Amino acid sequence: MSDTITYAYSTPSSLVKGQQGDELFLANYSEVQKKVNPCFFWGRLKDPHTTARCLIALSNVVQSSFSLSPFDLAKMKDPIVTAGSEKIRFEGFSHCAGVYARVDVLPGGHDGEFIDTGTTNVDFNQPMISSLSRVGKTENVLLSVGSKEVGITAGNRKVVERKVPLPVKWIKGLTSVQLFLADTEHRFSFNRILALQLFQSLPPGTIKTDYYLLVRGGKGQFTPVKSADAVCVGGIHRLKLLTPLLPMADELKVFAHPDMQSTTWQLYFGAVRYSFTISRDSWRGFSGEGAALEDLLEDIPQHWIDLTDKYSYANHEFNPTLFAMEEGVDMDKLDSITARLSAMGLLGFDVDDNKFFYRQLPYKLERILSLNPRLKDAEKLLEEDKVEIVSQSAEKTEARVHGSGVKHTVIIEGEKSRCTCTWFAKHQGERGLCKHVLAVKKKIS
Amino acid sequence: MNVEAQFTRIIEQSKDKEIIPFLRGCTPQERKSLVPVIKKYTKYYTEYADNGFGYWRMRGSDKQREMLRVVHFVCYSKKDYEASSSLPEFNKAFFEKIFPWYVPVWLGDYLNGLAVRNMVPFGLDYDLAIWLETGGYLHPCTELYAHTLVPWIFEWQGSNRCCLPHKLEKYPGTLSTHIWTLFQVQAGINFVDRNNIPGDKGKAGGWMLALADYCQRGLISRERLLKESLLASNKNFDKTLSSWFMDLFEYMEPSKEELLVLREDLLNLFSSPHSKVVNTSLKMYKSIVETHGFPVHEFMEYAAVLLSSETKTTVTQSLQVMEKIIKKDKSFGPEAARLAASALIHKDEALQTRAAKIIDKWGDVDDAFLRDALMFGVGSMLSGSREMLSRFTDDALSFQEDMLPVDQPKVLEDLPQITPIQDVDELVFLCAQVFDNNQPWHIDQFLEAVLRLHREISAADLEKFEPAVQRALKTNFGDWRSTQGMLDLMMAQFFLDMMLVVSERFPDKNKTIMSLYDDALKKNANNWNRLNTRLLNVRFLSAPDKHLSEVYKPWYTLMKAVLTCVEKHQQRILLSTPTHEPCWIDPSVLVKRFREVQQGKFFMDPVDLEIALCRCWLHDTSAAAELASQSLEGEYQRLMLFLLDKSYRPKGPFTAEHVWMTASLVKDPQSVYPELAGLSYSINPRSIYTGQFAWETVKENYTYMTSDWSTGKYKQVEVKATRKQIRYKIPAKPNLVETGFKKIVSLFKGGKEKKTDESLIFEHMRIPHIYLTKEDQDIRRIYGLMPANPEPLMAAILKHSLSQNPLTGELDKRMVIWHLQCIHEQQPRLGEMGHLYLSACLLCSDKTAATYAAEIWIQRHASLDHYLLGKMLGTHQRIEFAPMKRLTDLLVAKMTGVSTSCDAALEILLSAMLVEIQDAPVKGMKKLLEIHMELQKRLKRM
Repeated sequence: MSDTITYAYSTPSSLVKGQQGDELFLANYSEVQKKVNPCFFWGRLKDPHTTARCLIALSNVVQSSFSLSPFDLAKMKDPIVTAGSEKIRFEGFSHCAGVYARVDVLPGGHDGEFIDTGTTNVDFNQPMISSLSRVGKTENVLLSVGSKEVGITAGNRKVVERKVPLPVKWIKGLTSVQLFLADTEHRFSFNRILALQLFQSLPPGTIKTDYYLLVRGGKGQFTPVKSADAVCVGGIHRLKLLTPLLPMADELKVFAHPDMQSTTWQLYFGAVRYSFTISRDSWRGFSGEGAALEDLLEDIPQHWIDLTDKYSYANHEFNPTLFAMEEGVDMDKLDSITARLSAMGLLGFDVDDNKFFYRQLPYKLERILSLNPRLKDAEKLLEEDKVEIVSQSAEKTEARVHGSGVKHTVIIEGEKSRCTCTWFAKHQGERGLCKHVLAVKKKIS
Repeated sequence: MNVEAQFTRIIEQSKDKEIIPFLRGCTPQERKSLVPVIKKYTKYYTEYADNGFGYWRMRGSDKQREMLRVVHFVCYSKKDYEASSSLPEFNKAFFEKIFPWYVPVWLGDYLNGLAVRNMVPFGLDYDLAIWLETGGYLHPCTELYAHTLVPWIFEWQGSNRCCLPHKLEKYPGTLSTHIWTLFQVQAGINFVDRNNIPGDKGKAGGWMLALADYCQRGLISRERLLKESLLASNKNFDKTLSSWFMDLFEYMEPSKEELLVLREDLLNLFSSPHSKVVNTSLKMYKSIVETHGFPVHEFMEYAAVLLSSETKTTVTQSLQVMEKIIKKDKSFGPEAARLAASALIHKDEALQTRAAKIIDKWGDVDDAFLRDALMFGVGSMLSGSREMLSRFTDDALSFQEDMLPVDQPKVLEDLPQITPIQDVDELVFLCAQVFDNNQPWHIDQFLEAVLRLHREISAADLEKFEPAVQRALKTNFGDWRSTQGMLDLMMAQFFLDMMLVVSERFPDKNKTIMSLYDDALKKNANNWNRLNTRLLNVRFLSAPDKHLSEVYKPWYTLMKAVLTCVEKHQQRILLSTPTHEPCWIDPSVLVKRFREVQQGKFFMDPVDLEIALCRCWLHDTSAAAELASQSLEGEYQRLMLFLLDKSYRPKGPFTAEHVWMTASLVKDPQSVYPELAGLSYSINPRSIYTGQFAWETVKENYTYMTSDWSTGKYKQVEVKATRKQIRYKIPAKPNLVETGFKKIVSLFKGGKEKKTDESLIFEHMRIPHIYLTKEDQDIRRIYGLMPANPEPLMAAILKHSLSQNPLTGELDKRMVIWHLQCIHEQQPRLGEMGHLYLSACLLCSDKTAATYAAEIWIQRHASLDHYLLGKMLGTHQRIEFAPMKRLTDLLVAKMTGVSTSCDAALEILLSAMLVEIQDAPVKGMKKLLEIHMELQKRLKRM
């Protein structure tokens, strides 16, 4: 399978600067359309300057890369940014998929009409950025999310954008990042001055060692020294992408995953919110993390997934507990259902609302396997009958799984799984289970 | 003959004259059918191969490759053409011989597409682009115009690169339309213009002057030029290009009226990420602030962002604009005061004073917003501004003081326990990760488990060890991960040897595992000269050679001892296995191990014994001392009592001299025990065991050889240079071995031959080689060998990595940072060498290492000798060992205002430092004196 999915836009996305105000139109494309509507939202932005700056910061994230070589970077296509849901959310990953950023324009941040709900994929190229850069504080900017044809017009100048492919890496990243976000906990809050002081302690250059965020004497500080209450931030230089927005923000909230697998930095600008999530290390993209693998392992009837999808589509969000109660779905299966929807890119997570929101993205259930190579490899091991169960009891299962030239020993005791393969030896399960353990779990389940 | 055969003949025989007629005669379908064979020949002719004379060249001749270029253009689709070469070369002659009979439909898309990706084919210049456009072959896009136009006005005339701006008048569309594309696209105008700086008379010319000149002559609109320059500088272009457009704007010297017209565009520049753009825009704003029509409200909206900028000039200029605004209209005073509070986050006296003056004069004491802002900023306020704003911040002053619990003694029970490996299955999973450097204690845990469990490994278990054997073989034959150290290689070799020994016990069941060894040895036969020896005799673990640091010797000795036990089926226990993370042994457990050794009459390896003593936790030892007095006997009872009981003196006879010497150094490196004066080690300089070497910081001239090509010929030349260095000399041990005549006389007199003592573990802490091998990855484990006496290792790292500034390499940087991490975690006693090491780290060029050192200073400030540390820093900085700014930045950012006790300690440190450098002209002293004065003021107020 190709690692990119080519989009065909009927019209390009663009920002129109006109006499009555500026209008941003986001072209859409969907492979699986539940309902075709040319326009999702049309209205005025109440804080266009902040929104524009946030969108530029988002595009800076999308253009950045913290682990790829220049050669790899050249191979990457221009990224696209997704927008959707009733709150108008713009999302994107860095090239390396180690940074996830989202701009939320909340209900108070716009004054317009939601004609329909949906997700659209937007291409922010140079003319768009240039136009956004020119948006002033007092300008009247109209935002339209839909498929209307437009160009960027300043006086008699018009800019047209081009089509871009959506990297599959993003969909893989979306799987893990939403699950990490769902587990994050709020750790620190800083007002604008404290946030600025905190970021003054950001070390210069590219930092390879872990840094820690701690609050000392009421002030936040980044330090390389580990301490009990500190939040671990790997690849801290990535936070520099936030610095242009800090002077405008009212507040900065820091959320951390309990196992420090990710940190989320959320800036608040009235009714606009900028969420910035970074992975454990700059060389670790969210796309390579196996946070959802175990949940994807379980066999779930397809009609349950379809049901959940329809439920989420109708409600624009997904509350697993409520859903289970309303639809009579087994609570034990919820993690698996959530993981499946996330794995198709259909669910995002809002740490403030503490619930999943729904995206209408062009992905099918069959693609889950192809997007998760470890899961695919585990299935292959089972197909080729390379898994031998040596002993099995209620407490412990021991198995041998054929590897490259050797047989790996897998022992599963309750929640604890161990394997003698290199992946497991190196990560000790921190980055998801290896294919051998997945195969054994699948076989005994 | 079909077209493929014709093409084959033409290309193989290099009939370049025939290729165009041939292609012209082909139908479109025939050209398409040629594609596979063209690809085949392209691949073959562009491959590099030995030409038979020892040179590697492309297989195809120049003629053949030129023919292929034409064929590609005529026969390929756009996709194939793009894939055929990285960037093609075009010229007018090339097009002229093809265009009369064939024009690819994709040509326009292809060329414009390349330009959009910032690429232009070789030979495609502005003239050619206009020719293609005029001929109707191409409709150039904005990017293509910009990329071809930018270099077009420059030409080489001989060896001079000349600017010929008059060329811009050659085509009518250039000045009217195409010139504005330069402002839309990142086409490198700043790069081609880099040597043509306005004002530099010798290099006058270039785009900036050309644009200004055409403006003056009225050929391009001045109004549009000014506006486009501003817009271009705010298009998220890179820093230098954005700055170039700002320079152009400045160079045009806009009038106040023009600036007022452009005020909105100038205002938008305040959000630019580039400081040059913001500052120039501010400069322009400053010049019109007193003019009627100045947008005060709009400026005030941006002021908060400007005052939070990291660039000092931006903040200063913003404050200046605000001052002018207030001067003109006093009603803006209170708002300006609120905004000025943002500037107090900058720890710069001039900035703070300027901001504080605005707040003091215009701020309302009852303004809750202002008081809140000042309360949060009080932590960064210097004493001058604090005093000035005392009426606003009285209540807030105590906000940040003394909230830092530091230097708390650790309790062994607080450290996580290291659980011994229980059975063979657990050993299997430890084997899988023991070469991965996951935890520093894994090696110790593994060696102990092997010693205890190797006899329990059954034939059925061999299969479980196969993945680890496979990995160990890969590690041994060079498949190293970047995070693995030399110890991981040694561990892999140890494991391979151990598994060979164990496998040999099951000759009928070891075929699979032995085949892994066999395959690996065969695969690496070229690099493994022991292939011909019988596998049973192969051993992987070898003694560290001259290329390896001495620090690895204790590990090798330990591994070898365990391996010998496995080979000989000896029963033994390891004393040095840590019980608590990362490297500590519970003293009671150590006593119990001694008892087991005494009861079992096991052999004790000297290195194992020394490491065990070095790892013994000595903070709360009363129970262990009691246990030792009850359960041990003989010399080891006396030894353990001496180690564990503070008041216990050494008692002879001392048969194991090395152990007594180690114990005395572990107990207190500074104390000398008269009872141990008779030990052979006592005659050696004590510093070789304690690391307390006499040191100096020197600036000296030296010479080095380098190659010189300036005359066109290679020659070696001697270059004089100056270096600044922290150095110490390791004193030599007295030579006790008598040789020659002295030995004969001595023997004649009946004297016994004197023996040199065995080296103690501390003496192995040397890194003699210029470049590190893998010590950085191993440093946590090396530190864990002797955590109770870490200063010999500190001395070694200081000498290797920190003796000169800046740090020489990434490995050194990593080693220093991880070593500092160990010091921070373990909080060892720090003697003079420890202080010297800390002083060098505080001046380190790597900010992470320097921050770590600052954190250690904060953590240990109650136990450090600040006077000594200050004197050391003064001695280094007398000769400007490191830039003073590096230290003052660190002091301001990390070490001041942490707590009152820290401030007091810092004051002592800085006083001692200033005494040391008071008569030396050191750059950056002013800032140091300011910090010192600020500290004194702050402490006085407490």
